[in-house]
Amino acid sequence: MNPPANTPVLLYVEDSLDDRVLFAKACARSNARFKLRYVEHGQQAIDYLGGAGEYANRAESPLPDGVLLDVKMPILDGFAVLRWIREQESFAHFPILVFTSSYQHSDIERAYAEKATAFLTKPSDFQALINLTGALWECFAFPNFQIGPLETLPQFKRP
Amino acid sequence: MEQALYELLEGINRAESQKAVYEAAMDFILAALRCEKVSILLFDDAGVMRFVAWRGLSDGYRQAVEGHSPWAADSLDAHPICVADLGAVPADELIKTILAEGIRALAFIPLTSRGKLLGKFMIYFSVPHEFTPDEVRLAQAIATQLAFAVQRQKGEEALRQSEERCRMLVQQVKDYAIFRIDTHARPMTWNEGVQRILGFTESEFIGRDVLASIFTPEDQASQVLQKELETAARTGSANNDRWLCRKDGSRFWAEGSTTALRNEAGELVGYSKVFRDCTERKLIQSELTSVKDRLAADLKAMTRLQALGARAVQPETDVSALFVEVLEAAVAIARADRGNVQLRDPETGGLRIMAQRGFEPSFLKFFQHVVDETAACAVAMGTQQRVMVEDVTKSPIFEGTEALRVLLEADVRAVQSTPLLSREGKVLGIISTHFDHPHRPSENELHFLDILARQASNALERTQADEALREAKTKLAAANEDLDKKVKRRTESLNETLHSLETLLYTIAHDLRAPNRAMQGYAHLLLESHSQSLNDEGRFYLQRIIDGALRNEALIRDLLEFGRLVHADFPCHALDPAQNVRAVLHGLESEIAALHATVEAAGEWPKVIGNDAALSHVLTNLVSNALKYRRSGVVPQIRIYPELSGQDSYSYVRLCVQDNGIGVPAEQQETIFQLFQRASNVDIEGTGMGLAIVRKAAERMGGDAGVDSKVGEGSTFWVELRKASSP
Repeated sequence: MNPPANTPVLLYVEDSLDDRVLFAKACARSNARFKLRYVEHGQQAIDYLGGAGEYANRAESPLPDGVLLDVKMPILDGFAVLRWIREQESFAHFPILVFTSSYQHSDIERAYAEKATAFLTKPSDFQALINLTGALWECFAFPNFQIGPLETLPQFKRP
Repeated sequence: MEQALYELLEGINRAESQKAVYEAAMDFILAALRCEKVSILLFDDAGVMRFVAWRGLSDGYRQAVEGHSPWAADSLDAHPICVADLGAVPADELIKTILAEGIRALAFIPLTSRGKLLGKFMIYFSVPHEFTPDEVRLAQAIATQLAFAVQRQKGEEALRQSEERCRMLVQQVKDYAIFRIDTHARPMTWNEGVQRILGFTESEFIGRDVLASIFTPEDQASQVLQKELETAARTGSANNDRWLCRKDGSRFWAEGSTTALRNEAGELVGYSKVFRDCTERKLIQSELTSVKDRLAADLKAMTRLQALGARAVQPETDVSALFVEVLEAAVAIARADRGNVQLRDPETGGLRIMAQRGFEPSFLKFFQHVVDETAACAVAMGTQQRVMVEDVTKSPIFEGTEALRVLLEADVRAVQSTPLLSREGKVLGIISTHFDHPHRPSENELHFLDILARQASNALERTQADEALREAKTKLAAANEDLDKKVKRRTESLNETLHSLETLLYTIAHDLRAPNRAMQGYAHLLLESHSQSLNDEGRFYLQRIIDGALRNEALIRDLLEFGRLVHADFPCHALDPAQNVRAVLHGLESEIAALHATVEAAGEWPKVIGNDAALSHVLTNLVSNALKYRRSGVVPQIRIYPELSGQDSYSYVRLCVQDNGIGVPAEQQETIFQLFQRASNVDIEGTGMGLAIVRKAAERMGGDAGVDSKVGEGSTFWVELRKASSP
């Protein structure tokens, strides 16, 4: 497969430094060459997407092709960000992947109710994380690759 | 001739009987017409001409010719027939008979009255005789007079006979007194009935001024006879039903009527009176009426008692309504003029009026609270028995008391007081009924009063018991409410605890897993990127870190699952377990393939009641175990099948997972379903929670889980669920 013309930009909203580091390492291992941008909580995510303050420069802070969104965060949690994004007309169909260590039913249902594109549980196994990043890369890097139902992502059979 | 006819008229008018009329007529005919024989014949009731009188005719002759008539009985124009010489006419049998009697000439003279043929008279001659017109006219004139006389005599005779019959009849009637009185009410006739019913002989009765004496003194005083006669004169007749007196003064009940008698001119000439003695019937009737009245009263009393009895078995809420009802029943039963119901005041020991009827405030004030024994009610309370005072003015109870004055002022002359006794025989109260006249209630009435008192006592006791019960209930309700509040508070605090527990679980899920993840991730990176700088020992440690983190992750996951099973909502509905089995096997495909295991899922799968996700989880767990706890060197063979179970009519379905693995020691087949309990013969990693989760999930679905196993041969783990009602 040919690499994409424009490198997909992925905004990872995550307060845990460990998760950010491991995600980047996993991407490197799976050859998922996202242009990764990080924010540490919900408010920063909203600022980033709105181009507010330090994120005004779109050359440095380009609009992402998708958002990887942790749920449990200080200041503003993932669900609040999700709601905000869906309220913006320009982001109505924007790919938002809720990415959390929870696999509680209530969280999954809530995420889909708030119109998340997908709900992904953070794998504890590092190899699984590598596989996940690879699959994500395929989703974003190749235009014909449609994000299907949860089960089509190889790592997301429920435990 | 006129003179002769006058004589005839005189003769027959003087005659007092039919016979005399005939004799007088025949005397005259023989003399006036100078014939030798004569006869008079009249039609009888059957229309046959018969001899009624004759002169000079033999019996044989009369018998031979009787019945012969030249005119029909209803003939309207009968004329005299004269035969001058029988010897000149052809002789038939009849003529021969007549000639044999010595008759040569004869004449038939019709007797007609008002155009009606009554009969004839005949004159006979022994020699041929030419009848002159004068003779015929004379004979006709005689016939006219005779016919008139016969007619009149006939009427008078009939009247006489009928009167006689009537008189005989009336006279002989004994059951009825039948007599005539004149306008001065003097009896004109008498019959046997008068003798028998009134006791007067004929001579004592007729023409005497006795009629007034048969009326009772009361009726005489109120001029009943005069009124009766006036009514009869005015309307034709008057009713006669009343008590009358016999000659001896004894009374009897007469039933009959008085009829006014008027002559042809319409003038009042007297009255007829007819009556009979109906005393017996009257007495029976009045007895019947009184029995009926008494029965009706009894029925009414019993109905009231029954209604009261019915109330007595119902929880009574309104005591005052009960008293009013008891009082009304008592007054009705005793047919009293007044009454009251008193209740014993437990504090003073006196009686207080709870309900009353017909008393003035002054009476009520005086008897409001009776403490001493100067009243019937107080005596009844003291003796615990009924007190009856037939006349308050003659009773020692009231003699010289203030109470007597109050009673008399209230028009009370008689009183009865019946005590209301409790089951233990204590006086609860008194029912008293009062009468305006000296009176003693009948045995029957007293009997009903006793029943009433018993029922009233029952109802009263019951009501009092009910009140106590109600009070107790209220207290109990208050206590319950208190308890409810406590339970509610406890539940609330428990819910709070549960909520914080769930929050804790969530925190565990999120926060405990993050460092776990980091540990595992960094160890992985280290092992991969920097393994050259580590020796085998270092690499072993790193692998142990990774394994520990994974174990930790599995443990956290199972804990969360178990917590979720215990606390979360758990909607259950009908499921097709075959679908769950298919999905589970699909999920475990790679593991099954890697072990070259054979898995067979077969059978008719009845629908079960369960939760889809939980059932899949349970089955995954069981099949995973079957793969995991295999005997070394033995290819896993797994059979999944349904089995109907349940003690009554197979209302449960067991989903069985049979393996050929290591098996479970018999003594541990129950404990392995408990948290953190693992079988002693396993050396494979595990959290010790899988089967606990299976059983908990089964329980939450209304079922159970268990195992049948033999060490070294294999196990059959099953989850038992309710069968969904077909289809």
